[in-house]
Amino acid sequence: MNTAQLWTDTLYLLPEIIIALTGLLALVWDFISPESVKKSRLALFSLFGIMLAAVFCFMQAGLDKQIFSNLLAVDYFAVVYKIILLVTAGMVILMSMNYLKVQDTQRGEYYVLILFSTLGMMVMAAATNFISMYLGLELTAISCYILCGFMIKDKASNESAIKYFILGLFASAILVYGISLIYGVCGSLNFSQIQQALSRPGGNSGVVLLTGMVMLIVGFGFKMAVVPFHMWMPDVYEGAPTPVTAFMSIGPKVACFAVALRFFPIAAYALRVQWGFIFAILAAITITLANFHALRQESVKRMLAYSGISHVGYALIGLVATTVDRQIGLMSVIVYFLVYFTANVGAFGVIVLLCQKGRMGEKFDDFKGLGKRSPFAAMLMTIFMLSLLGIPPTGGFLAKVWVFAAAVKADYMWLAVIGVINAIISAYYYLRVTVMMYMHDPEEQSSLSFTPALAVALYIMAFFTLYMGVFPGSFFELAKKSVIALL
Amino acid sequence: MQLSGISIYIPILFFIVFSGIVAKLMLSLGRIWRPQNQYSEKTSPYECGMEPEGEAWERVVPRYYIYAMLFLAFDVEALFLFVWAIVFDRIGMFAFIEMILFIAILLVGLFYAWAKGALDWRY
Repeated sequence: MNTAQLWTDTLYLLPEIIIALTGLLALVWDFISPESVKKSRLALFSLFGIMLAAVFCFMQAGLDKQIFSNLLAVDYFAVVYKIILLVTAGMVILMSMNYLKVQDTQRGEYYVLILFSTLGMMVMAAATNFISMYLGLELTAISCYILCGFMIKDKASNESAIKYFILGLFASAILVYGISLIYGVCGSLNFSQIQQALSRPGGNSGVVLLTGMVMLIVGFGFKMAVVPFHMWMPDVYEGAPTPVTAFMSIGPKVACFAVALRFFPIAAYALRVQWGFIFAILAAITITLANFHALRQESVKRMLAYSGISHVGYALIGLVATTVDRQIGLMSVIVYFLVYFTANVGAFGVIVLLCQKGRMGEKFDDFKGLGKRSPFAAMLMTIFMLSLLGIPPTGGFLAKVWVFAAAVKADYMWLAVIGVINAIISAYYYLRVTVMMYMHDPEEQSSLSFTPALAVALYIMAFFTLYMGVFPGSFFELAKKSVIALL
Repeated sequence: MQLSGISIYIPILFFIVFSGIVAKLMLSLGRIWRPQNQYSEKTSPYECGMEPEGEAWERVVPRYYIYAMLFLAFDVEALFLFVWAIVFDRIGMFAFIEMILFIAILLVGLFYAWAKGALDWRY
């Protein structure tokens, strides 16, 4: 490889470089500035970096290149996923500014870790090689371990960090072992070369290859919290600071799905019968079990954790559908995540709004009478809940329709039926929040921590949730372009 | 017999199973034949010396841990530097700048640890 090529490849990495630089500068700024300097400036600086990176990301739309000898791809798919991740990071920072002040854990490392974690996810979204994928995965995971335990004096937060750390390492080990077995059979870590190796006659069978594939699915299942490997998630999500929970409920999952969408339907297409079967079973039990757990929760945060698990199950239905029709299946997953991320970030934002000193505001009871205390916040929460549930004027409806349509088209009728039944069951716990807000009287007249930053984040998320439901055309176009780049 | 593929590991499997059986056998034979006379001194952790006091689950100062982590970071840096130095004449300017960036990023980490007081050993 010649050096000139490396220089130009570096230019394509500009969004990632900007995020890394912002993180490093924020870190330096944090330790050279005196204590009296407000940490909110650091947050604004991080936001600025994220916006700059997003602008450069937009400029990359339409490119289709492989850089650094096929380690990373710069294509429409990567751009869409990076934008989702950057917007999530930006919203989370907006949500955190007041939260950290209220919880009295204002330290600059918070923003630095969010930025580094975002960097890792961006690398994952672009990865076309297991090495770069794993690099991104670990950068994401290690930052998230620390973010979980960010409230040092809070026991639940510490428990969450330790649990996530130990189980996350375990999952990584399984994942890497699976990768090594696949490398042993295919002779390459590169997705396109794996694809060639698997499509050779007789290349798609063998105990070692299948073991590797299963381990890969288990590893991804852990990171995405698919049901038999989901045990860590509710505890981790409950203990972590609420904005971090919002971040983790989107970021790592979306990034893992980006890798899964690049790997399974494209590189491992020759093995579609095997992974299609495994994912179909996983999707069915994920949705059902997560739903039944969510029904019994008393904490909205924990309920949203379980609902997040079930949403991953719905997205898996789309992945299963790619075994028959790749374009429809992939598009349905991308649209599903576009919709899920807006509603989920918004819902966590409302929990942040309710949080006060010494009271986390995450129980169902805390939502009592929110319709009277703050009609606007209650309205926004209702929009997010309806979208997560999948009621027509919101984006959630279209996303679910697409996923189920893809499943029906791929002859997975039973999966679609399970999905629809579970969507109906989920109405109970989503609407329970609405019932609490509008049909109960407020228990106490305490003020809400409605800051401009949080309000902006909530408005943007609510706007997009509704916009995607009413004018879905441009988002389908987005999904279609990114799938074409992939195929 | 010619072994190929994954079956070349079969001897290792035999070895694991056999060594397990031998170890179990020796221990059980010892348990059957050895003289049995237990008394309280014999079961204490240190047969001669101090009586142990307090709980075994105590707080341990993890100060050394931070040093170990810093050491690890720079150890890995040295590892990368070594590989880079061997092929330096062939990979040129780009790799040189990359390595400077790598070291600069690590230096930020060192300064961070320094500023946060990880380097002063307080008792």
